[in-house]
Amino acid sequence: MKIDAEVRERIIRNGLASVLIYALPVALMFLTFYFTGQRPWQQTANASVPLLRYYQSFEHTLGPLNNYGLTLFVFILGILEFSFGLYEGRWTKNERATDIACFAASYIVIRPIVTYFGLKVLPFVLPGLKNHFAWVPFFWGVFIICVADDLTQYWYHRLHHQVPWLWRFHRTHHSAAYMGMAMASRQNVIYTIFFSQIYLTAALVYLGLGGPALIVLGLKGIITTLAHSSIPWDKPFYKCKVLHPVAWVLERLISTPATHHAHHADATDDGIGYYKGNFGNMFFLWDVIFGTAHISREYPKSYGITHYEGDQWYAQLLWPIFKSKVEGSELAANGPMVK
Amino acid sequence: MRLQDVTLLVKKILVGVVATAVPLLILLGGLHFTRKALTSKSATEQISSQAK
Repeated sequence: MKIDAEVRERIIRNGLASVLIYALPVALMFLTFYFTGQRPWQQTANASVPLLRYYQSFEHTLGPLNNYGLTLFVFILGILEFSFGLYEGRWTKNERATDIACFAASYIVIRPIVTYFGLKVLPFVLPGLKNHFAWVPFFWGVFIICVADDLTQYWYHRLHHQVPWLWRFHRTHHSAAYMGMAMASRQNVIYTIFFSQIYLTAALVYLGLGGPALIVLGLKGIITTLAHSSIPWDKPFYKCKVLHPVAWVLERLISTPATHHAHHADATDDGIGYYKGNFGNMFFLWDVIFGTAHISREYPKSYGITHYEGDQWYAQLLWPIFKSKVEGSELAANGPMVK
Repeated sequence: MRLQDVTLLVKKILVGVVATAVPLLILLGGLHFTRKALTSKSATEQISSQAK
């Protein structure tokens, strides 16, 4: 199955525009320094020890908060979802196993790999560049990582939807007929291991942007978990007229439950569901810029994939290493690339 | 796992590598250029002010 010519053309066009967007924060920083006369690398050279101490204390404080704080946040959100009965009995034994296995894999498998990448691979690939750009001011560091990390994830995600041979690596994330905080980590392990933005951000941390990365990743974790959650926190913004201007900005800037739930809908022709777009993770702005956005301020009636018949959890977690036993499934040994 | 699965995995990894390398190279180049261009600009300005 080949990629549609029109889709391919749009990918190329939007990809070229992305090169400019990636460069935008650095270009703006350059212009600011040029006109204000700031030269932060000179300050770093003069006062490297206090600055380094500042970053280290910052990382010591926020590091555990980012690791355990986010896990605790997801846990509390999960309890809330259960106590409100938001899964409505659709969390079957197989779905439970899939969600838990995917959640655990993201901690057990991915973290050691990323740590190894940061400690062993990066010093080898970028020798002598550790903390080379530690002079980048905090604000600009946050801006650079916001764009670099999230735009890369947008592209990684979009390609897995629009390139037919990549779809099956992402299918697990869409197979559940419900939405909830567990969906954020419900991914095929190979999809997660090769998440491009993880390695890009790890490289930026190695280059000296550790402090800004902590802030961005913490914020991103909260936004993406809430966008997948079955708690519709954005509803009051649509109902209350006074809040409509805030809603207008919010739904175009970040992923909200309404826009991201639309991405997980099992239909795309009812004016609400839109699995052909709304690919943004932390920022929805990428969808607005590249024309893949659909905003309806409503929630889909049903989620998942219409032809899903409950592939075994191990096949969903580890395809193509393990295949599904469901006849005709996209994850079966002789299954179609896209059904 | 069959040979076609391995081919698929290799292709997928290549997509991931490109998606990581392109922004990384843009940022590395941009940050390096920022420092280099503005350092040489400051040095030139210093030399010309000393000459006056």
